[in-house]
Amino acid sequence: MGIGRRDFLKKSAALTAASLVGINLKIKADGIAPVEASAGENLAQIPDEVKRSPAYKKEGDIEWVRGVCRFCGTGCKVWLGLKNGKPAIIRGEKDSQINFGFLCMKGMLFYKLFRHPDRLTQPLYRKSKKEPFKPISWEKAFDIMADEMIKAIKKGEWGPMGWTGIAYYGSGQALTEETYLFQKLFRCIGTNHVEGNPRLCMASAVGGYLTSYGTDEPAGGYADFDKAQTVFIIGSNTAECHPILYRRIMKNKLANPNGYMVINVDPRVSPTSKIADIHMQFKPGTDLALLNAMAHVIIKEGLYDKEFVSKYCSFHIYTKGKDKVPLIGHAVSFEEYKRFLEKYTPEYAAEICGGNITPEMIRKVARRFATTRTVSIWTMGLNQRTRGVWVNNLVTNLHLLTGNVCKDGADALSLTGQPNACGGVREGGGLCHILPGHRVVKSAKHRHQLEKIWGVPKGTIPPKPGYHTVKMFSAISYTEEDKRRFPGLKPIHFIWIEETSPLQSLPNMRRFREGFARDDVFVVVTDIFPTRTTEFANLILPAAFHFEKTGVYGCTERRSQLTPKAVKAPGQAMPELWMIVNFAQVLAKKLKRERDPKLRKRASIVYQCVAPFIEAAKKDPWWTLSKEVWNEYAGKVTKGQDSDLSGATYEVLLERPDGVQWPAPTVEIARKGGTLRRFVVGKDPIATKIAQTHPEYRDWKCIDYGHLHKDHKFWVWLRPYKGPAEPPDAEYPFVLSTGRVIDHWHTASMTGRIPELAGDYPYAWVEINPKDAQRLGINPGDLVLVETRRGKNILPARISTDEGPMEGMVFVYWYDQEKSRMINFCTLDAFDPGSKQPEFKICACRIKKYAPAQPLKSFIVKLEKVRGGYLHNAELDPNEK
Amino acid sequence: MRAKTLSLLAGLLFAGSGVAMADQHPVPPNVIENLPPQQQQCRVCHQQTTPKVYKEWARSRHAVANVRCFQCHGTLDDFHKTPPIEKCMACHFHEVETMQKKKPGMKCWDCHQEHVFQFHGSGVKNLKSAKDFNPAQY
Repeated sequence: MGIGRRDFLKKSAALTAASLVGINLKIKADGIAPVEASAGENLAQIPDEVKRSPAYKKEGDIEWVRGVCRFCGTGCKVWLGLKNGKPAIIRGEKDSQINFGFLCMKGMLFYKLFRHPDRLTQPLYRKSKKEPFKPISWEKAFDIMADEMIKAIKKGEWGPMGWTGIAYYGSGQALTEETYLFQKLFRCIGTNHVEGNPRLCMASAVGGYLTSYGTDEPAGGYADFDKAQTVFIIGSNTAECHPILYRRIMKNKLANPNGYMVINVDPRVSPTSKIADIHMQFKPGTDLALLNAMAHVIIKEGLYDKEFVSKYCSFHIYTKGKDKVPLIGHAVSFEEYKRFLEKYTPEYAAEICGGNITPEMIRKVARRFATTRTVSIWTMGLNQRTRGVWVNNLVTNLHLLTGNVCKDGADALSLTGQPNACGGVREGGGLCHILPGHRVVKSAKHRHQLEKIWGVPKGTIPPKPGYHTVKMFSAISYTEEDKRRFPGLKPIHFIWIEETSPLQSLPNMRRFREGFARDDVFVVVTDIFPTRTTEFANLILPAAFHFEKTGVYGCTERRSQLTPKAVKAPGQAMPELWMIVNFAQVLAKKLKRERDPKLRKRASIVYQCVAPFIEAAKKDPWWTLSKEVWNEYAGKVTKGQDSDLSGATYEVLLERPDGVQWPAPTVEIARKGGTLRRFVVGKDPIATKIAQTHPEYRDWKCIDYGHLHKDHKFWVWLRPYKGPAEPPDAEYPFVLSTGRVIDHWHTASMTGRIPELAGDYPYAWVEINPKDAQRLGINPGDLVLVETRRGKNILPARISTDEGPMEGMVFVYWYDQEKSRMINFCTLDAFDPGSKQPEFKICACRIKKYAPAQPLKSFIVKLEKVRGGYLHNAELDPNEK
Repeated sequence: MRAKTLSLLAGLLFAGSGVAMADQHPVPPNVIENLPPQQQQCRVCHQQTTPKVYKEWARSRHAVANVRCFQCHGTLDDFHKTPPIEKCMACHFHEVETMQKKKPGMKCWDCHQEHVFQFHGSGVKNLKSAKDFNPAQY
């Protein structure tokens, strides 16, 4: 007989309504949809356009889809293999110029996360943080969020940065389209309280490039490793944090052991030192003296590139009180720079640096740096500092003085930690003071450019930056000390946190955790797993994972790559873009009914913000929606800017085995891979155009067209030595430093759930130098009490002669979710005055033996079913609360 | 004796849920979990128990590039003394595929000595171990 017409219509209607709100019709009794796929279930959901592209292959019973690795800022190209409809294997793309087919242990295993039983699959809500969470529908979630946001707007006030009561905190792991649309939404709502975790990670590198080049991001790329003769690694444990880049350096070293020199500059001997010819160990925070001393040698011995310096460099200093803008300062002569360097003799620096630094070593390294093609790489060792911008400048200075930039085999390459801090946050406008396409909030011209593209009224974007991360979270904790530290601080009552866990990753976090536990701040968290941040949420929104949604990641070397949807998301998990488009419509409707004309005015603006995407969000939030957002961002917002990606359409991105490096102003340029070398006439389309159209630059080989550098030159900065904010003293005689290991990614919400990785590092250690350990009577494995002025932790001791910190220093990995081992209770939140990035790398601590070695339990945050709903195990366990 | 056979059988049955039949690691997972810290990582124990194999791995390109035991041998719950060839394919897909076409049934270590994995055709005739270019570290 078959299904009748009436039944067919009823069923179709039900299916359509369900797909609009994303309800899985197979919902279990308690309202939570099953995560694990049933035996025959086919999880492959690959868009047709992808299937027709080179990013898709069918080999036997495996369907392969090409995308980017979910983890670090290297940007390895991967193929996800679905066997019998289930994600089963990941392999590298051999034609990628980034990873050549290789993967690290994290990249090869993340297919295990797709249907992990802990995946969040349904929106969860609770009015008070003392109650359990209850599952609710997406409709209800957006309704509540809009109400709470309007309530928080009213509780706050309207200031030069817009609404003071609401905020957004995003992530360098969110897709470019997501960060772009989120910041667009919040600026259309009317606030510049838009921040992201790259503030904790890359802000100093951004500040460094903005001051040295007048524009963000490096001039070269990974290809320079191959033609280099010297690799200068400073403040980076490349072996564990960018393993595939390290592999490339290793390969070059092994192929040419005598000609290729690797120098590792780190107070700690790490796995990176294994292939280092010279390891420079200096007291933490003294590297500014060291780098100035190297410059001193280079100048004194006449080893600088005279042509490059005289033609393409100028010298700058910032004097507080004398200069209006720290990013511009004022110009000085080369002679003045030489006089400035006089006091930084190798002897002076060696005295300050201690460790194994000798004047001869400084001279040797400086000479090698100057007389060979050198690539420098660095990450958090230089960025997570109160003088992060300065020390970034000092490394770049060495490259500018020696002409080690703008040519093959030479570059000052800041390695980005997260996969999309560059593409999404730095380029997409995800910080409180910047706007997408390398624009800034403070510039009225930039604001109006965007307002025009967005079709919103002039004046939509508030004119002043919002609060940076530490200030933003202090506006939530709002203690007396916070108010004293930031005079005029206005409290925040609503925050939307996306794809990051600040209540584990913020420095000195005790007061933040206490603040978030209060019921006067409404917390929305979007994530794929429960974390130490979802434990403070009022509303948890389940997000689609990587490969379950579509979007672009832009890695360290300005390379944007696309990861298409391939896998069905579990339960009701949806892409963030879909959340934004739907939430905005609900919010717009409510704003329209408000009495305050300021709020009512925002209704049409908020609607207009997402209007171009409403159709796509309804029809296909998994592929088409991302594509439309990307077209607006890349095609309209970056067009004509120095981060031009208008040539990098989804079609081109699917074609290329390794994405597109900007500037890529045309499809033709994008198809060839974009621009490897910035600023060089003939290689960089923007520099080439300037040379052709401006007669005064006709014979220039490189043109620094950074918008901050009106003289079109690279700037060498005069930066004096300044030590860390909290050096060790009599009461706290050790330096506490923190960092990562290869197995675990950040707060381990993902890697802690992959058995291979969690098994290798089930919990965090404190690394202690063997001499210190002996003196204090600490044996390997003993529990050690690590204490700072701010907090204390108890961690097992790791004592090794192969790796570890220098004497007087301890090193702790920060991925552990177990409360007594979460080291950010101890770290310091002093920040760089320019970049606002906190000094995670250096603070003062003391250590002593706490208990003998004993078995420990690893801990990971999970949701448990309780009477009335769900609570985190962290909330139920008195030891973890 | 009987108990040992039974437990071995039980172990095999339990381990058989993996892709290929998993092996039983001589020291069971629950024992290792309860060891004091710093004795749970493969290499810490194996430096003492299988020093030759450890040294071979430690001086190989895999070790320098941080390719660790579990990436090939699996976890203690899903342990393979001889890794299934799929584990190599994450990074060496092209090579394994070529080998399977040209010499079906062969395994990588039939030619490349396991743990050391020296190779040809990269311009390096004799693999230089990490020790050779940085003796101070060893």
